[in-house]
Amino acid sequence: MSKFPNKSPFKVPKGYFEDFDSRLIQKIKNTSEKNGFIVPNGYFQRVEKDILNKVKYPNHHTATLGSALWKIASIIVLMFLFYYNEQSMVNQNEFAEFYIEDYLTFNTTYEIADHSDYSFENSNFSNSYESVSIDDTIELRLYGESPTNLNLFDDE
Amino acid sequence: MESQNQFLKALTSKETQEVAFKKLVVDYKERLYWHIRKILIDHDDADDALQNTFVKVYENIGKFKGNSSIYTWMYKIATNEALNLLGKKSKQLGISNEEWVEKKTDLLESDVYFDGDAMLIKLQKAIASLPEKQRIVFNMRYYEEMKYEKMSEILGTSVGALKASYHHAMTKIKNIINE
Repeated sequence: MSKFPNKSPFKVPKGYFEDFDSRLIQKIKNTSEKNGFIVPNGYFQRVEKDILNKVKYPNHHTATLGSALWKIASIIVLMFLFYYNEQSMVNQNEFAEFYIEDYLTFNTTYEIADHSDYSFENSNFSNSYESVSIDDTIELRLYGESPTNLNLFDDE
Repeated sequence: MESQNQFLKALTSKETQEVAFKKLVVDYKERLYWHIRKILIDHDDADDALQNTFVKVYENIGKFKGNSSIYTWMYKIATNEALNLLGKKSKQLGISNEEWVEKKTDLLESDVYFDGDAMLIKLQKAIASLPEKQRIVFNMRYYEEMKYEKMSEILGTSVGALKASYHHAMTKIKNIINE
């Protein structure tokens, strides 16, 4: 046996052990393309549906009879409200006019002046005679007062 | 780029977006799934993250500027979604992300959605032992064969740093396998 050296007769290619690790990893990579991970059967078809169901697309639906009726009803309601509002505005204006007329008819100028902050002393009353009611002039004449510029009865 | 612009228009137009988005899902679901799966290990978690990714893509498509390819942008969202889910899961258990991944990898032998021999499990355990960033870089480069420039866009890390990460990861994995 001594004439057989204990040196192994087998040889390896040059640099075999140097890049052994890389080749081993490469082999692992080649034997399992997906590195061992797998998915349930039909998973990718199911997940596609799941994803598409999760996403809410904006509505671009065609008009249905129901939605058209709702739109018409809404327009009628809006038109009614608009008309009603207009009517009540007219009534309010009429009421305001009536109130002012009544106020001027049944109150004397002095009373009107008392109700307001308007001061005769500080105002040019004579230049605003158009605002004096007929009753005021009668009253003024009864009490012998003769405001010089109140010429309402000059023609009499 | 022109075709991408046209596709983006289709994705943002009310009339065409449903069809365009479906095409996006059909074209990219598998690639994004495998990227996410390697980060999260577990199929159910990967499924959650994948669906969230596409929902985010749909919700934010109007904000996409088109500076990169839509695939790169989606890849970025997928990576963030996977890492967010990983963060949530590990936080629930009061452990680090790395510990969570190692825990999941330890269960691979009994995982019905894993079909690998002892050597593959050893490789996965070696990958799981890497720090988070190195693990992601290793998977993207080694399995997906992604270019460093593209990885740099997705991960927001310089090409040099990515090369270094990959080199460190590869060295560690070789050492673990040879043990």
